[in-house]
Amino acid sequence: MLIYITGLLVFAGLYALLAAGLNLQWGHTGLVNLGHVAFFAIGAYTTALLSRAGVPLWLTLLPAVVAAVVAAYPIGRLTLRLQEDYLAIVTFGFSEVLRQILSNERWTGATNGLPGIPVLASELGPIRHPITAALVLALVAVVLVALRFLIESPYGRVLRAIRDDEDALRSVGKAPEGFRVTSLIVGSGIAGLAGWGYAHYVGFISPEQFAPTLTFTIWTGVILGGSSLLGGTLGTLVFVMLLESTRFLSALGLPIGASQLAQVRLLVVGLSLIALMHARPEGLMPYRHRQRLVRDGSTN
Amino acid sequence: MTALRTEHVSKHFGGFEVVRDCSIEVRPSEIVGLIGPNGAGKTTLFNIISGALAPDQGEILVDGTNVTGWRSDRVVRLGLIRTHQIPRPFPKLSVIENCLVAAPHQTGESIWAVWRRDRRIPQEEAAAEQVAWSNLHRLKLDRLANEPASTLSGGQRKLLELGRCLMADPSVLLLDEPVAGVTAALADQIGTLIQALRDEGRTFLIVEHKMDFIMRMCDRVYVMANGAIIANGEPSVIRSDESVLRAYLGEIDGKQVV
Amino acid sequence: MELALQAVANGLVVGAMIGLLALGLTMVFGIAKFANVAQGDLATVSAYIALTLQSVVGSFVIAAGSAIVVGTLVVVAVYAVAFRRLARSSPVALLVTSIGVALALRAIVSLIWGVRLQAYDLPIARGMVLGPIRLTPTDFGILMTSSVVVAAIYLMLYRTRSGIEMRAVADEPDLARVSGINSRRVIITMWIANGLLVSVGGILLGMKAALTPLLGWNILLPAFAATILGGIGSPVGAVTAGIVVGVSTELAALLLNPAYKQAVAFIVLAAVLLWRPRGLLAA
Repeated sequence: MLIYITGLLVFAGLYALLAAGLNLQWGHTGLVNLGHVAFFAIGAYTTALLSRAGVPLWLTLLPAVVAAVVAAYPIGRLTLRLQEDYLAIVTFGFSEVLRQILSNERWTGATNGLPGIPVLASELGPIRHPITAALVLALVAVVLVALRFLIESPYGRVLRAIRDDEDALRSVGKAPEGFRVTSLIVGSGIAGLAGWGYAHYVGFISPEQFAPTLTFTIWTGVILGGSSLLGGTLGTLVFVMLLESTRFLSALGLPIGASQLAQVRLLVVGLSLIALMHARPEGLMPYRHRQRLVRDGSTN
Repeated sequence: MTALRTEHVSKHFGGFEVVRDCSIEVRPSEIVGLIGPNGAGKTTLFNIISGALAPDQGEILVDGTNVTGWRSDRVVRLGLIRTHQIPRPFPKLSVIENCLVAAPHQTGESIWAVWRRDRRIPQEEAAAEQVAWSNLHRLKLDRLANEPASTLSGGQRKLLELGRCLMADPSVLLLDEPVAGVTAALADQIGTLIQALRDEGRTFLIVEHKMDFIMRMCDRVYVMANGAIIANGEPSVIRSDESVLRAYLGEIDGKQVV
Repeated sequence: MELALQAVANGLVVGAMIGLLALGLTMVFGIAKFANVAQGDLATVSAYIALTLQSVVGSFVIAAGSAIVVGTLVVVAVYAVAFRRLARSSPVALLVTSIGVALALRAIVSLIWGVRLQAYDLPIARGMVLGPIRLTPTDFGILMTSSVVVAAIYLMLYRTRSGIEMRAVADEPDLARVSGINSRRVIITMWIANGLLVSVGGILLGMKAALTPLLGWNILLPAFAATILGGIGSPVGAVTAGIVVGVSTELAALLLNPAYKQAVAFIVLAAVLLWRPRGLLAA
């Protein structure tokens, strides 16, 4: 039972990281990154390959994040000059191509994946589960604090201006290019970090774990939650819990098999996206700017 | 030295010449008007000067620096800024944030500086806020400072765009129809503000259709029709110029000139 | 050399199908102003409808023909339910909605028809040999059908009033609105045309490859690549680029692992966009 709950916490933490990264890109900058799962995969595979080759776990964290950042950089630069729809297509294309490479190359384990990844605190037996949960949640806390600093800073303000009207930003003397790229790579780096945590918790990764469905699930959660950091993160957790609860439908005796349940979850994700865009595209908790006071302490 | 000069600027779209061989000049602390019938190419010329469009021929010089082909954000950093005919605020940002985002030289726009907790950031933010509050106060927008810009009326948005421009501390301002669609009282207020800013040493090039505004405000006026400059001189001279009258009488929407 | 020629021939067949979807995509881009991620899955739906109809009527031709009609109606229905009310929303909102539609359709297809491979009941025929190239009757059918459909769409776009109105809305929406063009009618006409393209494309895909719920999704990336390469809003560009993408991926499969066909399409796309950010033949 303890293992089950701590496992939930680990996954909740990983989802929170993925959502936070996407929230920076989409909620605050307006970037349509449909390839988020690719950077999750890059982090996981980088650390898996390094640690299976003997590199200690605490040394593989930085390479995992850096690999994701380095992969995101050319995508960011490539799409600077393109229309916004193109970013969506290019990022999606990138994640699909990556998945194909991971599925077909010998050194990535092809479709069989990479087993035998050293897990965190493995020598401590079953206590490794709560320890990993604590570590992941600590990482989440650090990342959320770091993101909050960014969001409340002048940098975050420029991101929101880009989301509102990129050309108007140019007309006040600021170039959006650098900000778009950094927003993309910071969010991707966080996804890479989540990949590190994931690989060293489950101990086995394969390409099918990094399907686009994950990107779309997180997307739905981030949109549902709204553009604020808290909203996007919570919204994803709530949405994922909703989806996971469908696993219990079969336990209720309903004649639905596991693979059909997967399709039902997909249907829920799809219908949720449609409904959200129609009913409440800004989500449940959109970002609220803070009230500023004039020197004498009043707002007038 | 002129504050702004264009030399033989031309631009065509498809086979159509929208701007033809335009050479204008604005001296420091002048308020110069740019008038002409609709479709004369005035906004296109603004777009070219501000860097939003590249000219096919010709050069643009700001304070002696050749800015032809520069991206618009770079031109703003040099000191020339423009407002839009239909204001473009950042709708979800608050009024004061609209101003703050235009404040230049912000250390806090660098990720590393933010994560380093660089002490200059809160200092610069406080300074920028002070400037923003004083600008908003001048524009009588201060009580709306924390409202989303999307809630502002058309006239308020024009004022906000002016306030946003001022944050960049520009030396040359291009105003595209600053008083179109605003009340007479507000137009007066804007006019007074422009004159005060001119007395501070700033230079203005203004496109407007409201002739009384142009007559009151401008030291000189250029007249544009069919993409070319057809006349320039003091307002009183221009208003009785034959070619100008002919250009306007050709206009369909019947705007009164004299 | 023979291998290369065969690859070119296969590429033409695949490219024809990509071109059908890309032509639809470019019309949606041009007139409804968004990237329709559901394009592939809409094709899948028609392919499966044809499967069921064939099990009912037996004749593939009748089944396919009726499936095209039903499929087109499904596409128009999807527009009415999912996209119509968002006409004034941002392109991103429409894009995200189309993602939702894609996922929902795929899930529904899986739930109704299952995920295992299925196929149409087509007579097994030997390929016809033309010099160094071998093509099956299916291949010929695909080439002919797509040519007919593309020609019909071109005729519509360039010779009929509806087509002229559609191109006007795509190129100059403000001017079109002011000229009194009924944009609602134009949009519905466009979705009917796209429905035709998508349902024919889906059925042809089903003839060439086995039917799975991922049938159309697998070709979506190459179709988008073709749309962008050909220049968004350019019908000629979309079809031409579709063939280019088809041929180049088949040729590349000779050199690389054939599983990387999609990767090639993506790399070609990225390379071209680096060089020409607006696409090769931007309208």
